[in-house]
Amino acid sequence: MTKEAPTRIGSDPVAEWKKDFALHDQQHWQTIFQNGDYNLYDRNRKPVQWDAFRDASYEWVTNPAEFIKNFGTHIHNIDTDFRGGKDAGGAKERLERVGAMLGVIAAFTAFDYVTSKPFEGLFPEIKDNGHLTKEEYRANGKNNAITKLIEVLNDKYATALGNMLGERLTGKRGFIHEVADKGADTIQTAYPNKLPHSMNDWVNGATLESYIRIISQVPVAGALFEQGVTRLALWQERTPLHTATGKMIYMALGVFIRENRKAAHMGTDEYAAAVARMM
Amino acid sequence: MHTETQPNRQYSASEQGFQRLLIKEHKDQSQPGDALRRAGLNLSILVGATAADLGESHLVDKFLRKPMEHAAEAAREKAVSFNKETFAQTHTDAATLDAAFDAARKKLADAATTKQGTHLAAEFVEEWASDSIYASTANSWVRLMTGVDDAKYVSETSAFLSEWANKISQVFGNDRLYGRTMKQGDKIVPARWKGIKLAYQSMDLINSVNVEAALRVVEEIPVVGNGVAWAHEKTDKMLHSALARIGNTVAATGILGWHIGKNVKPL
Repeated sequence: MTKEAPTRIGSDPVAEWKKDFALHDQQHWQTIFQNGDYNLYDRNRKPVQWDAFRDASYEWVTNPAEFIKNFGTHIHNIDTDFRGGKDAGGAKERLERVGAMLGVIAAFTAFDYVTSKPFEGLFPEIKDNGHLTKEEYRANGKNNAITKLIEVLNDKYATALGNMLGERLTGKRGFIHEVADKGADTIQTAYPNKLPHSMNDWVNGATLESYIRIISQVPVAGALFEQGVTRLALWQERTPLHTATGKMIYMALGVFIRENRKAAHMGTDEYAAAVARMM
Repeated sequence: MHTETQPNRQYSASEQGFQRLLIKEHKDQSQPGDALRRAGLNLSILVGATAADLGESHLVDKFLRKPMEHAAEAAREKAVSFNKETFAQTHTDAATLDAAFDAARKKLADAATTKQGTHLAAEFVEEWASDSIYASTANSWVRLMTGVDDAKYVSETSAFLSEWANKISQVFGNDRLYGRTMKQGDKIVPARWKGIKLAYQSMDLINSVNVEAALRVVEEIPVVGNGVAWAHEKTDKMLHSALARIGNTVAATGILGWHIGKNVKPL
């Protein structure tokens, strides 16, 4: 005889309360991280709407005094319309979001820095002055390969950990999206350690996504920026740009920018100093 | 111009308001104060479109006019300064010297005239392209504000007037600069103020959008405006015909060719 499954005779109020609390907490973080129910990169998201802009323009033409009185409301409505009807909330909510994103930036910039700087000393590059020995070139081969591996690895970890943090807090996946993930590759390649203004330890998927979301909090202009990034990210998602081929294209773009930066810096004191450091 | 509102479409209050202010066929639904609103709105468009054109001229100067002028001048200088003595230093075969020199000189002269012609044509093309952008932007804005899919701001008359005002100024007016001042009996081009030009060619001032806006402002003036509006409507209808369109294109292309032919001096 098959044993019957035990029947649930009542719920544990403490467990239920804890569950509710956790869900409420996740909902709150979803509004901060704009994830899950508040997902920025929503496939069904409407494009820019113009109704509020039209209404505000008409009021400006017909009744300027009323327009000035309602200025704040107009800005809020236009902002929401430009975001395809997605209300980004008031100043308090936006500032809370900026604060959270600054926290993510601080954490992952620090992570990037401490996981790359010490290794630069451990695996130093012998500067090529045109007279290196075979052994020195081989030592550079080993050290540079390890350094490159670490640089790529810590960025991938930063992106993965950023996503894990987002998922942990919101209960939903998809915090870091295509533009930030691949854009970080371009920026790092274009602004490497060996040139002035290195961005290597400043940019990774997690920090770039956070910078994007901070800019998006600006009323109206940020709404258009957010729409642009969302459309670009969703377009990338549908094309081979989100694959390894896409990564190559992004890195090739980075190489193009890097070489042109070298040319632009050539002859300036800053570049001469950088070259002198390399020698 | 067909600007019938769609029967099944529910227009919002602001869409209906902008239809009254921006679509001529809806003028009969005017409410008290609409004439003043129309005048104010069109005056703002007039100022905006003129400011955009003046601003654009700075970019055109920097990225098109000046580089092309310099390239044409450099090519001309190269062709003029080309002489047989210099050529003989590299071409040592005395038997073919004359023929080779003539061929090389012709090549340089052709390059110089081509650059002159390209420069003149490019100014026409740039003006046509930028004015088209202003017109299509204004038309899109009217469609956005009124919700009427085929609504237009720029009329055939304004497009015609602005196009020919610019062409005549370019071809017959020698691209005269407006805003020149007198200094000790001579007309001089004033120096820039904080990088902003103080004298402009007519094509930097006139475009189809500000001409249309100016006409619409004048049309709001009692009595006089009615006459202007009547004439505006008649010329619109006349210019809308296929014959007028083809004639305009032929004339515009012809005058461009004539202008280039007259001004490019073969070396």
